[in-house]
Amino acid sequence: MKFNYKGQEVRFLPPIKRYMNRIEWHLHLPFKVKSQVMLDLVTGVCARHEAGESYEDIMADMGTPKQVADSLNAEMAEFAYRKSPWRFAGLAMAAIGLALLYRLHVMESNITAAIGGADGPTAIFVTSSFVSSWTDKLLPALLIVVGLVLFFLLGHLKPQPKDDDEEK
Amino acid sequence: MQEDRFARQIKKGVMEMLVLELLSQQPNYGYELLTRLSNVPGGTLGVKEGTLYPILYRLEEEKLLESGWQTGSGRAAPKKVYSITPAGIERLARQKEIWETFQADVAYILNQEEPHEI
Repeated sequence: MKFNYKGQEVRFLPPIKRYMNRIEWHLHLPFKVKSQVMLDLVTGVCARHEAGESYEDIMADMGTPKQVADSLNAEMAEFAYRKSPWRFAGLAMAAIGLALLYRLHVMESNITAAIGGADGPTAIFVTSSFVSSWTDKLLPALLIVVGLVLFFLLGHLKPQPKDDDEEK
Repeated sequence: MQEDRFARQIKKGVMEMLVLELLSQQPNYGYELLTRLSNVPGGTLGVKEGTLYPILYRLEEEKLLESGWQTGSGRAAPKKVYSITPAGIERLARQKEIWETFQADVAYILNQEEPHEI
């Protein structure tokens, strides 16, 4: 794991590296904010280490990576992505696309079996009716891609600006 | 837990001014600010990283603070350091003025010995 911030590259070295990786993994914040948090955290760890504390003591004092991240997630909720409930519509769209693609696949397999067992004209009639072309697969593929993109985008909406006057 | 809430609200209100004040004394990094706040004798000003960082990021976004790297000598790791800008100093002066007036007004009410006649 490394961060580049204002021209300065920061790398975490063992034994703190794994600990920091785990915190980063559990943080649910936009990338930019997450980078800032990680750099502030690592600055604190380095300062404490240089002041004579061992990494083990620092980690024990800070808590488990999940505890650190959970506390930050809770207190920095205003920075977190908003998730629209409509994102599940995107997921449903992708599921429908997948189902359609699977149905085409099953139909093709059945037809292939039928071709093997049928005679001349019958086989030709069946294949021309049911074997899918690439255009038949286009709609399900589009549904899957668009659905997944929607699911991702609607789960990463810009954080709602905090209204300072809300408690007035 | 009403007292806790009261203390939290006051702390939340003054934290921005305290951060600006500490950084006007000298540029510093996040952890040092946390330490200085929690070492205040009364023990009411301690905050967690998750409380301090959003204040730092918001003040930086408003150009009242700026952050940069302090590269130490020898094997010291580079550190992300915050410093106050001229706009931050102006904001701090205004906030201190408001705080002093506010404090005097609150003290005036709390120290009144006789209630007003209605």
